Amino acid sequence: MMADLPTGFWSGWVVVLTCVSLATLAWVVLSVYFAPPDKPDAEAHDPVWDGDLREGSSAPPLWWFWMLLGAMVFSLVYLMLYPGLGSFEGLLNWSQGKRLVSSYEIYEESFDARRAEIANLSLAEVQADRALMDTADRIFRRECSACHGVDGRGQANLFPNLLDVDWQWGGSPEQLEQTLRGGRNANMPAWEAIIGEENTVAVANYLLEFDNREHAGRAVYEQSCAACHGVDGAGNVFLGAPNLADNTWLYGGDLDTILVTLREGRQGKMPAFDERRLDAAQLKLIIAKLAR
Amino acid sequence: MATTHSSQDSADIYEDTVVIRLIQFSVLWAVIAMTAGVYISAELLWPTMDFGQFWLSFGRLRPLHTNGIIFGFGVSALMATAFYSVQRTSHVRLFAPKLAWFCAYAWQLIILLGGLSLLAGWTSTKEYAELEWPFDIAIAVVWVLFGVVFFGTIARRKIRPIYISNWFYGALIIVIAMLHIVNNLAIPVTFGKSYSLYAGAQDAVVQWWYGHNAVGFLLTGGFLGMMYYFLPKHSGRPIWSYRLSVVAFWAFTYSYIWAGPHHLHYSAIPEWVQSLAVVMSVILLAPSWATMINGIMTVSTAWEKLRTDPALKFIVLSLAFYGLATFEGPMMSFPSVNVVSHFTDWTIGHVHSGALGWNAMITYGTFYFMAPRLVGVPLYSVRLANIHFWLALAGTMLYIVAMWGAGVSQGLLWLSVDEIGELSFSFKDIMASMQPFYALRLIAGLIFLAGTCLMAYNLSKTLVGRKAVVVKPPPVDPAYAIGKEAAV
Ligand code: HEC
Ligand code: HEC
Ligand code: HEM
Repeated sequence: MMADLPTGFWSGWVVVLTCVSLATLAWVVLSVYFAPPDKPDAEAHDPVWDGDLREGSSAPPLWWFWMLLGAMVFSLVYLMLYPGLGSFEGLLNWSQGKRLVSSYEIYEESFDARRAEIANLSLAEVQADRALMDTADRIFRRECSACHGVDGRGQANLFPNLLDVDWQWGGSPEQLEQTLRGGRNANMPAWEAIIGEENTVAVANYLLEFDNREHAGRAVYEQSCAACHGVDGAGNVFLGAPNLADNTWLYGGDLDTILVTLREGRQGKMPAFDERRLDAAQLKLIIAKLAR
Repeated sequence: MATTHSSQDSADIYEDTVVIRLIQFSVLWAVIAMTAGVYISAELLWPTMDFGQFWLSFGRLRPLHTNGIIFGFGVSALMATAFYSVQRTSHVRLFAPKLAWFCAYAWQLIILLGGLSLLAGWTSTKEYAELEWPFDIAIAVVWVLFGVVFFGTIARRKIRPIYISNWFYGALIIVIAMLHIVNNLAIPVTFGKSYSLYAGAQDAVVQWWYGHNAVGFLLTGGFLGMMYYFLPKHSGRPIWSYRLSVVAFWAFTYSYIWAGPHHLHYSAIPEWVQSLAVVMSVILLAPSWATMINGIMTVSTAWEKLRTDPALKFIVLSLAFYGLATFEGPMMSFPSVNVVSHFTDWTIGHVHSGALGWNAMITYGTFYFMAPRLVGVPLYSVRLANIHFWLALAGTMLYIVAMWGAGVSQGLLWLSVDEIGELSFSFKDIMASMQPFYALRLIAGLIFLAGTCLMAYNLSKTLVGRKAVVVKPPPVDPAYAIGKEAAV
């Protein structure tokens, strides 16, 4: 054991300080505890404060002595077993770092096989398993619901509903995996500066009655917007350009909101979830939950 | 001793009016800060209760609650009881009474302006030390002056042995001065903003060295001073074992100072610091229980008084909660227990078995004891005080049970994993399931607050409009006298 004892100055200082402190504490306590009464005739000469405050003379109870002794012995044993005396690592060789590593090992031992299995299941198999889908729900609530809402129906006109049939970036398992692993950065330019106030208002109004091909804004649309949103307004999953012909809106389909969208542009950002945030099994579960 | 004519030479009568004023301020802060506590517990149920106002948000009201309780209610009560008891145990008038008055009022001003600054969002972000640097300096100055009054009185005492309560008050004043100054060292950048001198793990260690010993020497040491004066005084019995109280004092002072890092288990601070904190926390159990036992044995021959006297009931019950909190604390210091309890409402439950059960109750007891004696009339209503006792007990029990329920559930649910190793419960779901516990806590808080308001009414009926009784020090046994009296 001698070899384990620390040699560095600070470590030695800690050891000395700790031991001296514990010893002093024990000495102070025991010396008062077991001191003989100062005067045999103390009764007659006890000081009296404030008319009637006196020192009681009962001996401290013996169980208290055992209690303190127990605590002291516990301390010594604890400091022998665990890292507490300077750089002495303790006989158990325990450390919080090692505990962390061993927790990972236990975890991997218990679950790795099963998780590898899950990562290789087909989506249909996962979807058929109630327990796995429950787990998927929990992962979703933990990782995604802060933005997409507790139920996944989106919120705040900023975070898309993931339960409807509308996909900006596509709803196939491959597209979803791309969305999750790589994140998505949408870019809808700010138009007013480019096409001017008049055209902006015209095209905004046109979006409210998309099927009216005679609308004055239709020309502007075809010229400036169709490249991304499609001539028929169906959108483009490669650019994340949403469908403008349907009744589903992310930021909002009323005239005022559309005008804001056109004037200021929109840059929706879906963060990337790499291996460390969602491992293969978790990714599989999430995709099984979302894909339709 | 108590005389009614007031044309005395003021040099040898106790300065008690400042005590009355401090009691009144303390009660005022108790009502305000507990109302803030009730409000934030309601916010945990109905988050929109901040009505979009920053100053009503949980983040700003919580430090207002904690600072208001600890420094408004707690310190005012400590000053009041220290001034009251140090004169009586030294058989001499307060040293520099004008300075005592200055401390009393300057302190209230600090709490008032400090509270407003917290509402305005000024904060150094260190828990229980949130006030910004101008307040820190003011606190340091007033605290040192408080020390001057206290130790000045001790220095001029007429009786040689220093009574045990003064040891505790003295430790309170010295240690808090040290902790406060070291922990708040910072570089000011503007009048309302500063940056701590410490960073990272060092900051954490210094902060919890402060935080834990604020609990140790303010919420425990100072209040033990109260206990050692008022309990024997009121029960008319000597302290059961004076020697045990001295042993406990040293063991307590010695081990508390090391224990702070048990707030930082499994963190980036060195492991030996954490282990020493475990060891010292366990040792702490001994002096804590010694004190509790000493108190309870002191009244053990005066049980009949306990049935009728609300002040004594409060003090004795507070000792039971003291014992509870100081048993729970060492348990929570074990890393394996702390893994479950840390970051959960268990801590809040623990805090409040101390704060409500111990600090608030013993303070109520001493206030009910002092108020009638200070003005020389009986308490306005003993019945109300008895009702207050039951409200306080019910509120505290309900609060602790609710938070234990909440805290232990949180700790265990957060750690549990399902058969494929995923967390069994999402954080959100667990928090959503806490509603019943939070509702119980809100009710508990309302009950406790109601009791406090009853006391405020009762004490104001007793105190307001009355003058402090003139009290002269009783004679000192010549064998123990210092100075003039010794010669007689
Ligand atoms: C920080 C907020 C945030 C978090 C957390 C987040 N998302 Fe998103 N997500 C967004 C935003 C914003 C968009 C919209 C991007 C855009 O405008 O194109 C988005 C888009 C998506 C899309 C594309 C929707 C479509 O119509 O194509 C999917 C799928 C998606 N998120 C799934 C998830 C999943 C699964 C998680 C959890 C693992 C998650 N998101 C977590 C913000 C978030
Ligand atoms: C460069 C490709 C591109 C062009 C050109 C483009 N958009 Fe977009 N638009 C997008 C993208 C990408 C989004 C999604 C933005 C997001 O999710 O943050 C979008 C979103 C929108 C939205 C919001 C839809 C909702 O659900 O709230 C509206 C409205 C819109 N565009 C209208 C137009 C109009 C009108 C034009 C022509 C003036 C136009 N866009 C041209 C790419 C484009
Ligand atoms: C009306 C009675 C009271 C109610 C309803 C109440 C409520 C609360 C609430 C809701 C919190 C915050 C919990 C959280 O962060 O989730 C809190 C924290 C705290 N309260 Fe109270 N409180 C009351 C009385 C007291 C009293 C009398 C004291 C002390 C003497 C006190 C001391 C504290 C402390 C120290 C904390 C912080 C705990 C920590 O560090 O995490 N409270 N209280």
